[in-house]
Amino acid sequence: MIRYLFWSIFTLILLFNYSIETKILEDIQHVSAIGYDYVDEDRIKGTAAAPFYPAGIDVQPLNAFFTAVGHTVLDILQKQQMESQRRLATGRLQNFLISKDLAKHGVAELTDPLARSTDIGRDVYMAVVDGSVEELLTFKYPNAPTSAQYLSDFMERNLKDIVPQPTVHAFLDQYGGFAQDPFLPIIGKKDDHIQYKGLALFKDDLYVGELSNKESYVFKLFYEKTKTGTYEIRFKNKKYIATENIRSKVKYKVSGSQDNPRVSVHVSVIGEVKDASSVLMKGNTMKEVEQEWSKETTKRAEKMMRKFQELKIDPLGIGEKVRSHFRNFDKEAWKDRYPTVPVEFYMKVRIVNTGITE
Amino acid sequence: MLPLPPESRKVSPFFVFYLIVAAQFGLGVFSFQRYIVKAVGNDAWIAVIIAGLSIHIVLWMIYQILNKGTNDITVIHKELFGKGLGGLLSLALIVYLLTLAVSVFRSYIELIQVWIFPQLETWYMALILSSLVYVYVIGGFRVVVGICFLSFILTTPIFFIMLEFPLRHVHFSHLLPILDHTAVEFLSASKKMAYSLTGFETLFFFYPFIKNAPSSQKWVHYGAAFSTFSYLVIMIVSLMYFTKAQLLESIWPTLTIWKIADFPFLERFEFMGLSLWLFNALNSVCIFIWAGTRGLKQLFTVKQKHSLIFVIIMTAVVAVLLKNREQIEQLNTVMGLVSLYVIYAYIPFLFFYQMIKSKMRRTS
Repeated sequence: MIRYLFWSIFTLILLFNYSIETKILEDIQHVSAIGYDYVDEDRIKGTAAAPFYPAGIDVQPLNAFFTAVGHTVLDILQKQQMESQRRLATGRLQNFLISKDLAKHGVAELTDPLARSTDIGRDVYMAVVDGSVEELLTFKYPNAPTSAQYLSDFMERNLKDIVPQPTVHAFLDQYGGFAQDPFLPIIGKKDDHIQYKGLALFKDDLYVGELSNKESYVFKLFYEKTKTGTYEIRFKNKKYIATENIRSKVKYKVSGSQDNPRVSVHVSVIGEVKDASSVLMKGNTMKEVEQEWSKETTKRAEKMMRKFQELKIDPLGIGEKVRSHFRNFDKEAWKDRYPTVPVEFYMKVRIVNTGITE
Repeated sequence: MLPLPPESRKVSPFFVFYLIVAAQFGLGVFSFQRYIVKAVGNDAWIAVIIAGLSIHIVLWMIYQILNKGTNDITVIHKELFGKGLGGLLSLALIVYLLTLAVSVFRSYIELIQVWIFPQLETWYMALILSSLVYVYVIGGFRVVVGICFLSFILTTPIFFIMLEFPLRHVHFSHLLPILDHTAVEFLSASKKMAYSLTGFETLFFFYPFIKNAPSSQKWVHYGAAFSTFSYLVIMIVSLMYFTKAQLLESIWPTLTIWKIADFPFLERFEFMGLSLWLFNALNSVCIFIWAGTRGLKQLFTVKQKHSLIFVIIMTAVVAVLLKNREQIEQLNTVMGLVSLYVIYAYIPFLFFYQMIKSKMRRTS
């Protein structure tokens, strides 16, 4: 008897004290892209794209945007909440945008909630927007039902071939670690499309410079293993040849002593010729194309490296490679030494085919 | 001498494997990285191996003690130190195990509160958990073994499958240069690691419940090796996946790693993983509480059911009293220190004391 009494009281307690707020999928509105613009010294403007799915079968989502000005990300989210028809949930956030103006003033305050929140995933894509984030997000693009969908497709399926994965995890890791400085893709609105414009370079959390989209191909090539990338080579007699990277590998070699380190970067590329109008692709010419390709790319890489060293930033993660090479590594000394460390680039190219014509 | 449990209550020797894994491989796997990385940075995985090997030596000692005593620790204590001091030592060990249970109990509730349901009240979850613990422990030792086995087959495959996701984003260079720290640093890191591997002291209590107990020693070593291996693997993966600064910042690096898993049907894996880890928390709590109440029964000849109800209520009450992260962290730090003394001071002491005493008895 006592046992039954006990368990019934137990059940009643559990039933009546259930205090967890339910979040039913149909009753919440998912924020799929969020972006921030610079307003003034301590205020930012946040724009959240949270497409609304009306009831019914086979309905198209409606574009829905909420804009608010505030001091912190959460403050803005709360203000956005006051406008939306349903509870905003950030659990399915896919894109996180920062305007270039804001990036120049530091992004640490924006990324802290990303690291802290349990809602937001670590595979959210980040990008810097050239121009106004609000304009980019709220524009009605003709090629997608909602701007958020266009943006997430663009970031996830397209951009991943062009730049090293710009996820929140990568950014936070690079920002937190000493050995590397973060970088993010720059996107912008071009007429009625979104366009990739280059790579934004950060020093700690400040935007300090950028690479053009052409340079960013070279950056990716020297940064990680790739399987994509089209290059244009200026051949003799002002003829242009387009080649494509089939697969490439990169290897960093550190030599010398800790006080006098030398870094060399070796890339080997297997490529094919895509477009060579009016140049006959045969034995010797092929060799020349290979040489020309390698020469041009390493020249660009050296120029890029000079830029990095002038800005005292290390997006390639050379610091990490050097750290892992030496014992008892002195981090402070490395920071001063970095701008003068000689970095050499080598590229080995092998063209394996020229398409289906000679 | 107290009677040994009947044959029908005993389990086969190989089940000890699951018991040891259950006791060692619990919630520690979510958060142990940062404490070790703080001491030795990129060499943290070596500290895991050092701690793991030292645990094997301690386990060997435990078996020597128990094989000679042929009963559980309360009886051995009584034989070695007399009723008064022996009883006190047994009680201290019981309190230690029950405090471990509280620490796991509260840590799990905290995980649920931080990661899934911030509105969840501690007492509510404590009520659910404690009733679950009651239901399992009241079934006796064999049911506790059952839940350990169940938890093993439910959680370990998932644990290893989940490593596939971070492996796509690892930087091997984070591990280099190997052995870049001093012996003192390694020692302090291994000390931190030992707390994650604690829990095998329950062996002192369930030893008489194993059929042909001396033959179970190899399974204990396999179990300890398995948990060390699991810790080692996740340590290496987190070292390669995070930079050191990130690893020091995140409170639960393993769960942060799980955040990147992305299935077409499941946006976020860590919620499911955490719910599944209930089994892992539950089996540790069950073993600790079972061992504690078993000890109380041996000491005071109270019915295990009555002491169980008392212990569970106490566990829940203490868990509710621990209000925030700081207090939980404090409890864990204190328990880490205590477990260090238990593992590396008390058990070797007992081993040598028993050896000397039996030698003296033989010569006299």
